[in-house]
Amino acid sequence: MNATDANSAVPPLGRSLLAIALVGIGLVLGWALWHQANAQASLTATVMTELPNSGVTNPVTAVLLNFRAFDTMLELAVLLLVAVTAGMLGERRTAPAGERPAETVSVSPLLLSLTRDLTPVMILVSAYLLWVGAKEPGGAFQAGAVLASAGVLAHFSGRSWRSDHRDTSIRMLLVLGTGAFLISALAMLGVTGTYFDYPVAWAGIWILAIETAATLSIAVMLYVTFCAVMPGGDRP
Amino acid sequence: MSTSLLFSLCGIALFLLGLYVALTTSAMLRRILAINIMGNGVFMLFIASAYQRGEDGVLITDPVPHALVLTGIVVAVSATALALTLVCRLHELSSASHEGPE
Repeated sequence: MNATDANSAVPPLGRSLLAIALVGIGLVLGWALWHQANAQASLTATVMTELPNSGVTNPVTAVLLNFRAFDTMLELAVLLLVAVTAGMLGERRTAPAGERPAETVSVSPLLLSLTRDLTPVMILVSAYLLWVGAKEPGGAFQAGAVLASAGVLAHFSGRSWRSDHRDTSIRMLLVLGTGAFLISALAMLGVTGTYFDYPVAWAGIWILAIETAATLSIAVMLYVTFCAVMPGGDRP
Repeated sequence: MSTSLLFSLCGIALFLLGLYVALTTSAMLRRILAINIMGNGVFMLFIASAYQRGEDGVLITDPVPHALVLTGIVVAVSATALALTLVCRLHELSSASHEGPE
């Protein structure tokens, strides 16, 4: 079962028919696009009109966290699903691998001092990205990715953070992002009568709170996934 | 031909190339990569369609497709990670069953 059987799924005749059909689809799509090219189907004006009511000044963040908050909540749910599945598969894989202490890996002192010096900077950058997301490009996912990369660096220098997804505190952090979105949706149902419809005066602080929860949660989800797929000791 | 139209056509081409490989190959890794390329074609089309010239000739960007593509990239990366994890597990299981229980 090597890469040599790459084309064995479909006979040559089927493949050439498929190629012709796809070229046909491509021509139809290209033709449709050509005729749509100067049609004005833009939501820019709507977003810009509603932007003062959103609590943030970056239109992309306004769309992500306010106008289309449902999408972002489901995005976090997808990440949660991946983290839980990868964690479970990693747990099954490392279970029979035997006990082997991680200290046998020699870690260069340079790496250790790099980790020690970089981790606070990364946490700071992450907080900055989270904060600046309201005005400029940035936001929860970027901040969470930087925070998770600090964890990855710590993992490579032999001083792993806790990553066991069976741990209760890790579990709390995993569901924090999706949970914050859900709770805010239900709370807004009580306050304004509609899901994800934040009151204008509170929208900014509310979005910042959700984004903070999402950042922590994204960082933990990425880090748990990373640790689950990392080779567990005896594997090359 | 405007730049955004060119990018959109490239997006369609990427989508179709990915679709062709995804339908014809039987190698898991290749299929995952092909589906990623399909997704990237769609993202390219979306981002290109977000750029439009206003009445005064200034380029304006539509934030809604940008936000959707941001969400889409995260979902695509997550789905790829999940697929790769499952393929690794499948590979381990099948190699273990070929070698037989020890």
